[in-house]
Amino acid sequence: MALPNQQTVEYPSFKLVIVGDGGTGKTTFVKRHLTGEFEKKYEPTIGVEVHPLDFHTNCGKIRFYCWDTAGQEKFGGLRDGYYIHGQCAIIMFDVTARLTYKNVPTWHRDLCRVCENIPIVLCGNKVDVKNRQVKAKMVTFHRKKNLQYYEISAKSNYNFEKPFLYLARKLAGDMNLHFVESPALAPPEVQIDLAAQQQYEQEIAAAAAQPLPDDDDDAFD
Amino acid sequence: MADSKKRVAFTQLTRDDPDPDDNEPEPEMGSFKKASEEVMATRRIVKVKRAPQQAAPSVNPFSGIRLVPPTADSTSQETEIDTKNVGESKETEKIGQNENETIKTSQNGDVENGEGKEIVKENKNEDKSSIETGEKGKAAEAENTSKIGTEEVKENDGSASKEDVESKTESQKETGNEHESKAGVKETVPDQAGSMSSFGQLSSGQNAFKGLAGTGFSTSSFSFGSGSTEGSAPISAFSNAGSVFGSKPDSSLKEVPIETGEENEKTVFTADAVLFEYLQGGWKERGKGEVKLNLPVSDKGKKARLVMRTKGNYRLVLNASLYPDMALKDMDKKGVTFACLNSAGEGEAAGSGFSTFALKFREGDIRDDFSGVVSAHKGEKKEEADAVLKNPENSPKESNE
Repeated sequence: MALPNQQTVEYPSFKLVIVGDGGTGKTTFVKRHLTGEFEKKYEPTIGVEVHPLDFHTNCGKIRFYCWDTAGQEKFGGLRDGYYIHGQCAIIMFDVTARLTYKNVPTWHRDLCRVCENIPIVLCGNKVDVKNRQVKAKMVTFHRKKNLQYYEISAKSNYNFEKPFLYLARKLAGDMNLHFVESPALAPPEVQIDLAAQQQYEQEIAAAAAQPLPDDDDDAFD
Repeated sequence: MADSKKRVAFTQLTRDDPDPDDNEPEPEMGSFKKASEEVMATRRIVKVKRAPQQAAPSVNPFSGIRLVPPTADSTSQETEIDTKNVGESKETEKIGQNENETIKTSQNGDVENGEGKEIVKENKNEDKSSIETGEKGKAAEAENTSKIGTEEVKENDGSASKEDVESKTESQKETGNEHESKAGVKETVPDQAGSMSSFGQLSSGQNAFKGLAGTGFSTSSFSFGSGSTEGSAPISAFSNAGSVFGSKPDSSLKEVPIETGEENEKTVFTADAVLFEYLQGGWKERGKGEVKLNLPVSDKGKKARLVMRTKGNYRLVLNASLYPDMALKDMDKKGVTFACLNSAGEGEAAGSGFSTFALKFREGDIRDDFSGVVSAHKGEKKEEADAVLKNPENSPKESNE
């Protein structure tokens, strides 16, 4: 499960497979968690990208190895070969594109063929968009298959931690598990020389001239 | 269904968004209303003579047996039940149906069935038969529908169903004898709840139908056909659920004390903000959450620091000491930018040196408060630093704020 370049960790780690149609926001979702940024550019994932994602819980640290798989068929790579030994999964669809919901059963079927009986979360992404095509009450697939469903928005961060929380709880067998603040160790003292200081101030000036992204007016909702 | 509110989603799905998952056709609601007693009394209840079918079971006595709970392959059986519900009488093989007398005939058939069960009860000491799932379903149905079954119908049916039961008896292996007898007993007190519970008992041998009793079947027992087709959903859900709960929880996870790393600090400023990092000429968001300015409580050697975690997953995105020469510059849109040595994050930027960050606040006022409080706490060694440096470069940046 672990890749050669992944350092193994002494705390519990799980392979998480993320599937869903292309463009539903799987990579953006993972990236949002990894770096905090919201990537607007669409660059289809080729094959798979694996990212370790750590969470601090009241039961200690846990890690998800997020297998962010290609949604587009032509870039599918090994396809369900990536699912092997998956311990939990997220199926993502785009509530602004009905077809992506229609394909959810296919993803689910393929997933369950390889990984029987793993906890799965169904995520309807992009719920921040005003005119969605898949209304919440139209989403019923999860009921039949006993999946957890979350409406999420990688853009507004709405519910964005919930899928991980649910999976962590299921995997831990503890429904009271919750995320806690990650520890902030004392940062190093700042040693700064004059030349550097001037350089930073120049950069600050340049940066200040660059407007902050304005697209998230709902940042404080 | 009585709880129509709960059913809305299903209806919506059927109409607006035909379920893509359905390998099997959408279950038609095979429910029927029973006529009131008076109406029933006026009706002639016709017993349809069974064709010489007795040979059929003996040809293949195991044809009716289902050893596994009906799941995917149960469609035929469900159809069987369904058709019965709609009004054909007991045996699907029976072709010569009186289609006009739908309700009556079904009544007839059902009662016949129930009667059959009663006979089973009588015979049960020698009867080693288990009624296979579908048969049980019929039994339940029979109880439901036989409320107003008249005596003569029962008598009429006695013979026919006896044959039937005999064939079952020969052909089927033993399990739920007592279920059958219960079914027979229940038949005399056929209220819906009673029949439901007896249905549950009936099905207890075959847990495939438990889901039914619990969910889709709910209150209206007459929509058995549809109920049973829906049954496939609960069944799979159940098996899935069971395995999810059975999926080896990681028992190594135990409650541990939580350390924030801020135990010896007091927070003097806190506000919701969005953090950005300036990289390659552009701003990258690093997270939304609460930014705090912490002061050391006891340790005088320590510096004030900025700490910020994202909302939801509590990931640390900013963890940086203030320093005397720290400059803040206001930006458009309630932002403020500064350079700091951020030790948060395990990513590329972690501790790699100074970087330029910006915080965007909800209000410009909050930004001003932030700048003020940072300026107030950044320079405890300010005089010392000034004394050492005494450089003209120091002055303009102070005026920045």
